[in-house]
Amino acid sequence: MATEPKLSHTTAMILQAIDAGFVYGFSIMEMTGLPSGTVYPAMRRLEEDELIRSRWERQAIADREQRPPRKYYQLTAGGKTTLESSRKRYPLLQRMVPPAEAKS
Amino acid sequence: MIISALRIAVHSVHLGLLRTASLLIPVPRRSEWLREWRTELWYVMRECSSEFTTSPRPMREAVAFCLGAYQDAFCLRKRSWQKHPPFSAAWGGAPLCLLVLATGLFASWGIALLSPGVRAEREMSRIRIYPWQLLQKHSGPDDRALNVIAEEGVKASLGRVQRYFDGFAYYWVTHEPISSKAAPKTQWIVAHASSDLFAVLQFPIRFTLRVPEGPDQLPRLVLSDETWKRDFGGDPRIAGTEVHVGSVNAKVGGVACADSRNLPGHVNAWLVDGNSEIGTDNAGFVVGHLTPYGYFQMGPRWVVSLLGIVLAFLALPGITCVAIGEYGSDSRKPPLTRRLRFWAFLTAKVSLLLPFVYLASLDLDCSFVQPSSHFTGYVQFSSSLLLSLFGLRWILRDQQRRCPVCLRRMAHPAEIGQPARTLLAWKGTELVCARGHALLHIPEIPTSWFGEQRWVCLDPSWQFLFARPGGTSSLL
Repeated sequence: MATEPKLSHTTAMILQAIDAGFVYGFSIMEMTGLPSGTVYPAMRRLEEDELIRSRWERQAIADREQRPPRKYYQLTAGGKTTLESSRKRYPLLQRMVPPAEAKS
Repeated sequence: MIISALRIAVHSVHLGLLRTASLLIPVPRRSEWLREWRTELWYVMRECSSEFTTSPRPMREAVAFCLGAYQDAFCLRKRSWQKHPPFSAAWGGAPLCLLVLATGLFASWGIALLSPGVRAEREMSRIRIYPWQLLQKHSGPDDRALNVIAEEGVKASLGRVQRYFDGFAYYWVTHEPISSKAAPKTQWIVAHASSDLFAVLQFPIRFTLRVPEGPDQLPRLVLSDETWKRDFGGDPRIAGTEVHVGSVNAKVGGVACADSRNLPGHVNAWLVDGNSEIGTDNAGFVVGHLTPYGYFQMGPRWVVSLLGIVLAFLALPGITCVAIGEYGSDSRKPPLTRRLRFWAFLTAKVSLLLPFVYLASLDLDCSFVQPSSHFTGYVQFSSSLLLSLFGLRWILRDQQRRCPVCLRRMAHPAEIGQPARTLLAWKGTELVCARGHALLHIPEIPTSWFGEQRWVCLDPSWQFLFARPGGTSSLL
């Protein structure tokens, strides 16, 4: 049985932000207050560990809204399990990063 | 108008930062990585655009965002190197080995160019100073200083390098009446010289008269080439002729070579007398002989290194096995071109080592020994010997561990056999070429039927089991 990765507080916060609906890099930066040099490398590691996966937004949607297409991130099943254990480890995680709808 | 131009300029700076950072990203991922950062930058700029005209803060934030791309790029590059170490394809290859040797050679050459000792020696070797080029003139009783008479080039080179004199001689010049049976009465310019003058000057003397030294013997008179021809008709039996010089009798001891005319004073003859003292009332000249600079007693620098290298070649069989190896009896040999390449590689390594040994030993000698010291050359000789000895040993051992087909280092050593069964099978180490060209068997206990290491070249059909080109072994 593979052991669950133990995430740092920062990485867990990024994972929580994605789960909360902040699904692209800049919104995660805004939500967590972390600099780009921290957020993007952390997301690369999470993606390599298959805790999150990414997909590009369809060009047609971006064109309709007259903006470049975004790269969206979402949690994998493994990511959700890891996030659950991280929430137990860091109890304040959910309060620090509330869901996107709650924020708006 | 100005604002929009400023926006374009700022945006170009941001894009330039991102593009520069993207150079760190492995090529297959680079375009997508750059696309994501450019997209994100667009959103950052949109957020900042409302404040763009009123405050520099948004611009700073955008720059900080772009600088974060470098951290991301460094992380990706680091992980890429962890997965695929750089130069892994070149590692163990023949070009890398030659590159290491060439780097050593260029480094020693560079040190030789910068080293003050070597530079000074190079300059001194260009300007050869003959004893007659370096004289000191004593003008008379009131002259307490000795003025150096030397050419400008000689003076300049002496000013740059400290050198020592290892011999002095002197002569002082007078006009003396001369009478002899062999020549008409005349007046000459005669130099009263110390007995070691010609030894210091290193002038050869022709028709030398062997006169035994002693207090009752007549002083020797050495004629100039010009005077000998003019007053004695170039008579080769001139040696031993008695000549009356002023108030003393002297015997002609020989004829100085034509170079003697370079000496100041334009003398007709030198009266060499061990009891001669420098005259206080006459102009005199002190001749100094400089110690050799950068020359070992046995010869010039390259001879010293060559001697060390030759000795190293002779001593090499004493410290390592010089046999390169053989092919197994049941093994096919590589093609002739491959075998020639194998030997060309060995020759190239030795060719790079030898100039390296010369330059490195020269650097060491010039760094640790004073140029005019008696030890000049000994450090060079010993370092040449040691560097070439251990360098050649390394080259041989490296060659013995190379695949004869691709010249890469053989890898993955494995113990084979048992000591108790050496009569039935060989005991030693087996190495394999990481690209599947050959096996190398090195016997640990040499026997009459297996004394030297052997290559066993593998059939090309084996290669699919081994490493991909440029990668590490997938089998082992």
